[in-house]
This record gives sequence, structure tokens and C-alpha cells, in this order.
Amino acid sequence: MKAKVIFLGIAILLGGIVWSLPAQAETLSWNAVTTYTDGSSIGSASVTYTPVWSTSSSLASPTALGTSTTATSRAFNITTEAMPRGSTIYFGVRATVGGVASAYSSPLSWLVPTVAPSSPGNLRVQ
Amino acid sequence: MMQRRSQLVFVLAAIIAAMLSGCGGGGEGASTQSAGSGGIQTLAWDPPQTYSDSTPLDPYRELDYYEIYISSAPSFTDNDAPAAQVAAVSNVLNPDGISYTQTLTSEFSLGNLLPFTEQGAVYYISIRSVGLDGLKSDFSAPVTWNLT
Repeated sequence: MKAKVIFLGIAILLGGIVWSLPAQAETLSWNAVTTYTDGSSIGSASVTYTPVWSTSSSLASPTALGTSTTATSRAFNITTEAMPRGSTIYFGVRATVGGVASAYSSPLSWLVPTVAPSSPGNLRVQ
Repeated sequence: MMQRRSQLVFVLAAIIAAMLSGCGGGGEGASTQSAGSGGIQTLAWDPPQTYSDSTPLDPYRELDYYEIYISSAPSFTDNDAPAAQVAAVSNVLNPDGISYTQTLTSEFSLGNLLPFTEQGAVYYISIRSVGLDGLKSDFSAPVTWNLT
């Protein structure tokens, strides 16, 4: 019987701007979990990941970054996620195997980039 | 800091001028303010819906104010000082007299700019949107304001 607590060997990385979408997206990625806390291999067991973000470095009151996934990256949109531009937020990811979830990874801090708004359109004198 | 103060002075001047024009001699003022229209003209625009990188922008939550520029030349630079500022969102009192509805600002009375103009001249007006973080958009394509 494997240990029920998963060692989350996750290193999360932020980068990779996806330009293929009409609106710019960022991508959060992390390394796949490979072992349990006792060091034994997870093997072929299905691992789902739950990425979250929070304005707290302790990941208090985290906001899910989409739904859980077996993928090791997640594209997101700053505005859609209502992330506070100009502020530092923290990402974390936890893994779940067989219904048992790990603790969150060490938080990754990220300064939400600021971007100037577009100029008003259709300026006219009436 | 100095630029901010300068902007505030401009805005206060514009507001006072607008109040004075509204308090007396309204008809006479209107007839001389914008030849051809017979009244005070309005600057209108469509609030932006995106950031400069094309990501969606919620103007209710993410816009702070607009800066309005006036010049005798059709080009504007970052060194120009705005003649006025208007909040991007205003609270409009509902008919119940109690509650408010947030409304996007999309108009500005050009009467507020008359203190900075000379009768008979042609001016160009441009506008910038300013986000909550203080970042400013490019200048909008200028429009002509003819006071002849």
C-alpha cells in the first residue's frame, strides 16, 4: 500500500506567452509529480493538478486557476481571472492521486504586469 | 507631482469657467462659443474595451479617468499637459433618489475648454484613457474643433 500523502515535487514556472489567441495569455507550468512522500514511484497512476493563485504568500483563500487537469501547464488570462494588475500574486499547485491531495507547492510570486489601456475610440465633436 | 498640480489647476479653471457660463448670459455665451452649431458642442468617444496588448479591459473596474488635450496643431506628445480630466466612471443618481448606477463617461462639454481658446481659431482635440495603475493610452486620433 502506497503512502497516501503525495510528495509534490513541483517546480512551477511562469512564462511562455501564447500569441495564438486573440487576447494575450500567460502560461503557468510545473514539473510532474513522480513520487510519493516515502520516495516510492507513483508509476502510471493518474495525477491531476489543481493550480491556484492568491494575493497571499501563504496561498490563503486561493482562487482556482481553471479546473483540475492532468496537464502540467495552464494558460490563463489576467483579466479573465481578475488578477490585480500591478500587484504581486502567488501561484501554487497541488497534485491529487487516488482522491488524496498533496499540500500546495512552494508559492511562486509573480508581479501581474501592467499594461496601458487602449485609447478611446470614435472621438467626435457633436 | 508638478504636472499633477498643473492638471488640477486646469481642471479647476475649466470647472469654474463652466459654472460661470452657466450662471449668467447663457444665450450670449452659447452664441459665441461654437459658431455653426448655435450651442456648446460636446466631445464624445467610445470607452476602450481592451488594453494595448489586446487583452480585455473592463472600463467600469479598470479605467480611472480620461485626459483631454487641446492644441492648435494636430499632433500631441507626452510633453503636452491635459486641459482637463474627467472620471471614467460616474455614479448617476437613480430616480428613487437613493441608489446610484455606475455609468461610463463618454462625453465632455467643450464649453469647459473655452477658457483655453480664442474665438475664430481652429483647434485639435485628443484624449487619452488612464488606467487605475496610472498608465496612459496613446493619444486618440485628434478631431477638429472649429471656433470660426
